[in-house]
Amino acid sequence: MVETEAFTTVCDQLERATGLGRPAARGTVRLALKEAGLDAASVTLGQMAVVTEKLLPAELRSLRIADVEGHCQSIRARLKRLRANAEVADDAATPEAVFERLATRS
Amino acid sequence: MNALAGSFYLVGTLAFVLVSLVIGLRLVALSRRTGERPELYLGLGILGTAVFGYGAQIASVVLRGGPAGGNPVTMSMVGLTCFGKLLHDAGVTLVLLFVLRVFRRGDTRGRILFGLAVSSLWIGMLGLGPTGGYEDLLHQNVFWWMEYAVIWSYPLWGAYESFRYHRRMRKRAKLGLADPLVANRFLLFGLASLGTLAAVWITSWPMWLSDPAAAAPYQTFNFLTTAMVGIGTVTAYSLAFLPPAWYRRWLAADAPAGEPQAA
Repeated sequence: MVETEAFTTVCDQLERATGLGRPAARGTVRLALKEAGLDAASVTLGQMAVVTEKLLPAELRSLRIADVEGHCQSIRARLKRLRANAEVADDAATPEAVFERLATRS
Repeated sequence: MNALAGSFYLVGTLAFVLVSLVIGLRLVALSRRTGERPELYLGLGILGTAVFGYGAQIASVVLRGGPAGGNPVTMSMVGLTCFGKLLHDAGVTLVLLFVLRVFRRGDTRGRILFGLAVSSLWIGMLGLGPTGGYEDLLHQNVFWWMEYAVIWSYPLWGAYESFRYHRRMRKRAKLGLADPLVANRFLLFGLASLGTLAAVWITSWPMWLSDPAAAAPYQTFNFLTTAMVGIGTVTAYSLAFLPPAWYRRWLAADAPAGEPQAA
């Protein structure tokens, strides 16, 4: 299955920082994404940063992970650095992008 | 009562065709500007099904004096039926292509579903001509069933995908990750798809009867419900593709204040 850089970055960092196993780390991030109406195949760095701020802490607390805020903060900092370096190219073919265009005045 | 219902049906049909024409042309013009395919598929799909295909088929039925045909069938009537079906089924194909391209891009199951639906539609449409289906509109054979199985069900796919995506977009909008207006557009497109489905079913259920005359007592009901569904469908389309300022404001009021939009 295709996964975006945003998803793999967060999972890898979570695995390293919290000691969660790979499946547990990925499952936790997937749950947070599902809660946000997103998925691992299309989530962007910007969306992932919002999920890390608003939904991931609760998921990690439910697993009794220590220093949740600290972990989430360092993940967000990493995502911010990646965003600064990334060439942002909007995908014009996502359902959201298409439906946004459909009411554009031509 | 029947005359009143007939007038209402006429108004509803005209509104449906005119609004569909405006929206279809706007989407085609938009695709020329953006160079993107989805708006082209949907624009031509709406023009093919709701405007030209539907229009030509209605004209053909009127010339015949009704679906059962009171007037002698001429070659021009047969040609008009064939032309209308061609445009309508091309429109159905493009609407399905829009759904595939937007919601199931690169998905094998989506491609298979699209392939099956389009094959059934076109084998049915093309096979119906040589087997007498263009002369007699109520001639039901295997080709007729192949074509109508798709016509009676194709809007369901778009409705299902739109409602599913709308649920996801609502979650995103709560976090400031989506525009509530765009989220709502998925809901409206789903409702318009269901409206199309309802209109197709209401207008064609008498075809299932062995004696079409048996549907005569329900003509007023058919007129009223078809007109109401048609007006409801174009209202959903209008709010989705030509949202007025008050509607935009109403939806914006639901947006979480001060939330950043994350691309």
